[in-house]
Amino acid sequence: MRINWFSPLPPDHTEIANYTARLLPALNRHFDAEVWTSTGKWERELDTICRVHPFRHDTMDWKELNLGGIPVYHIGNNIHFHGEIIRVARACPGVVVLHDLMMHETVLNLCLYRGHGRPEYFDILYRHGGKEAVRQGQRFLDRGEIDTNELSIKYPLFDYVISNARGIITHNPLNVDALRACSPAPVMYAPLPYVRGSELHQPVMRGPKADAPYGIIIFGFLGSSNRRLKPFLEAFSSSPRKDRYTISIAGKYPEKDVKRWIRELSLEGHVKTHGFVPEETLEKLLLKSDLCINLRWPSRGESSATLLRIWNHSLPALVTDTDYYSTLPRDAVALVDPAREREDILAHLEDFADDPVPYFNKGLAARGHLEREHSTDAFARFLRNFLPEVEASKGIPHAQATGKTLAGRFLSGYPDPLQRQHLASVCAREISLWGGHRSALPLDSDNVGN
Amino acid sequence: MRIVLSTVQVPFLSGGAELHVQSLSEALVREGHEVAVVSIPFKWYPPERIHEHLLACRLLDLTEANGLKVDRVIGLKFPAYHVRHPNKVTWIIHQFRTAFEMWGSPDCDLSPHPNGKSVRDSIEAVERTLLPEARALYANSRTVAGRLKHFCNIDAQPLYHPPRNAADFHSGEYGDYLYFPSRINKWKRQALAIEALAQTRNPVHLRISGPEDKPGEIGGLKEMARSLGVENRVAFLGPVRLEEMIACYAGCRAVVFPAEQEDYGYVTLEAMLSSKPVITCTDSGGPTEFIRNGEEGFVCNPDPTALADAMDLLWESRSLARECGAKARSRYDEMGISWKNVVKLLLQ
Repeated sequence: MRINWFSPLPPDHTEIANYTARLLPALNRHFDAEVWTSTGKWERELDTICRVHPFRHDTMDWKELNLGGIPVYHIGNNIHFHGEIIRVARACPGVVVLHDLMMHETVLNLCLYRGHGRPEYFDILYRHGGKEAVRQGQRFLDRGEIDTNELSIKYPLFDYVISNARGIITHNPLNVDALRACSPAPVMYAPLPYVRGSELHQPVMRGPKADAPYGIIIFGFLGSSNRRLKPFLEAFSSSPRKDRYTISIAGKYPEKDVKRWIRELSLEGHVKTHGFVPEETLEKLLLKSDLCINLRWPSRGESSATLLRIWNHSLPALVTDTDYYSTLPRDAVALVDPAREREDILAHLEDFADDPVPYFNKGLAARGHLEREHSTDAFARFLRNFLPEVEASKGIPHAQATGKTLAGRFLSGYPDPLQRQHLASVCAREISLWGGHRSALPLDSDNVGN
Repeated sequence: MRIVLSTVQVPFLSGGAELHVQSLSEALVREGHEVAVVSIPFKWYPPERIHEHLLACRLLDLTEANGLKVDRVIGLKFPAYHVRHPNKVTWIIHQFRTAFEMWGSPDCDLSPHPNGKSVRDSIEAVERTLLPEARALYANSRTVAGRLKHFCNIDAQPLYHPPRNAADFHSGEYGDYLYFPSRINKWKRQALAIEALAQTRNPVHLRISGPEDKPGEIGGLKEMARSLGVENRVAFLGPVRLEEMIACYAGCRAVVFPAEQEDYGYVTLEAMLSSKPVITCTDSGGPTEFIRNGEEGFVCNPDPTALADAMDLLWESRSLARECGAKARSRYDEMGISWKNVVKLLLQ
């Protein structure tokens, strides 16, 4: 079975690129996988694993895609890596792996920089949440009265990117209900695949350190405020036990800001910044560490590959008790209540310094969990069952919305709303008889839901 | 009975399907029925329009007209054969071909659309769901029924009908030319016949008649004949009047009809009515339902060499042509192909 896998690839600096690179060998054992990437960059060694196509939406070979097996679109919140993928996914129905539920900023940027600008953005908002959503969008865009986090929580706009999906996969079990509520396509949860058999590290046994400080590591794509880097540093700076720790920061983050925070909080002696480091360097940093910080607030509905990497090193981690993280096994993580973030961070720093063994035990439990639930082969097997099911489901989806659209289009000048409503329900009832409504969208996707 | 024939029409275009509807209408009237043809305009691009036209068909109420009950609807073409009626019989001329046997072919205008596969899949779902609504399901030919079974797992009974003016076709001499009457386009494969001509051992002559679908088709074929050195053995008659066509059938040695995946193929039946053997191909679809290799003609692989061999055989033996031609006519008569039979089955 051929699949067309739309995803960024290394060296693109995104966790989804790494995710795909890790998955490809397992995918190739179960499928004839071809990868489509829009940035035009990929590590040449990937050519030995699969065929890679660069693509852009406006020059896409639709026939090849239509004849060549089911598309699987990986959609995250970075427009640079996923903007083109979203456009193709909305045009050509396939399976969407939605890595992030909060798509508001992405959709906004897609409209502003690659689409039809403000009118398109407001139109999407109107469809999503009516006049109130447009009003909130104007407050943000025109007057800066609210921020994107607030807007994203109210109007996540993920329905925009899955509007044409024939199947949806999420790695966050808490997203399933929200996705099912706004899509007729089958929605499935699958644990985030992370580890190939050969990459699973042996369990690491750590013990208390009498003299040396414990190493804390914070790494990954830390640029977004929801990664809580600044609040953590602020809390840390006030910890009476801070001398028991050193902190390493690695990855992508606003370097000038971070250096300023460290200076202002007088943490120069405790924190070392590394910037974006090669894999080997990061591995060494992880090996030397005793505790990881992996906070998210507000959550964007995403799962965390970073956390799985941490688990592969049997490392304990502080995570925010919210969304995906609140579904993790309690014996594998140390939780921080977002409402008591500062207090909880301080308490954990205190407890860890007093007795790290319960935390090290969490790290070992986490590694066991990783081995059981998050192998790439398990995910490939899951796809092996799910994709044929999607392929087999044919019919007219969105019967209600489609009926409404047609009635709206053909009676747009008709003065009587009751007549429009009547025709809409007649059309919807009729279309719903045409062989199920769980699959592809054959009507203009941009008009559905008008 | 008051009968509605439900079909689609592309405005300003008229072809075999329209003649077919007209013939059926005439046959029903001859049998004493009252007939109305409901012809719904059809536009299939962009692909989303297909479902809108289908919806338009489904929203029509054909149960009665002007207060009088419509006793029977006969659905003929997609999507018009999906109109609702409690006494509907569907006689499929062909399905929406680009969604089925033509899907992905160079001539498919659906697969290059972003949502082409989605539309194709939904058309299949629609067919599977709505076609069984009919109280009886017939197909124009075994080929069309076979596609329906293959793509939608639905059984339909082949129901053959005679070509127009069937009574006028007659046999004449088995003269010194082969005849290839048809519209001129690449699916009819006039080019294959000319290539075959160039490989014959004998000075076989071929007459090609019919209008070209696109300007320049005949010019291209003439150029091809010149390049193969057979320009003196091919005559392009262009569009011909009915009487001239019937005369060409009557006087030819055999009929050549190697078209690709014909739904039915009137040419075959007209040749049989004229007591002429037919040279066709294994992938010609409809014609192979009537012609058995070595009996009513020859069914060749679709390559010039195989076709040339069949041409030579019939060129070298007039008596073989006569013998196969007689078998062709007998077979036509034995199959009971008549409008009377069609009407009987559609109304039973």
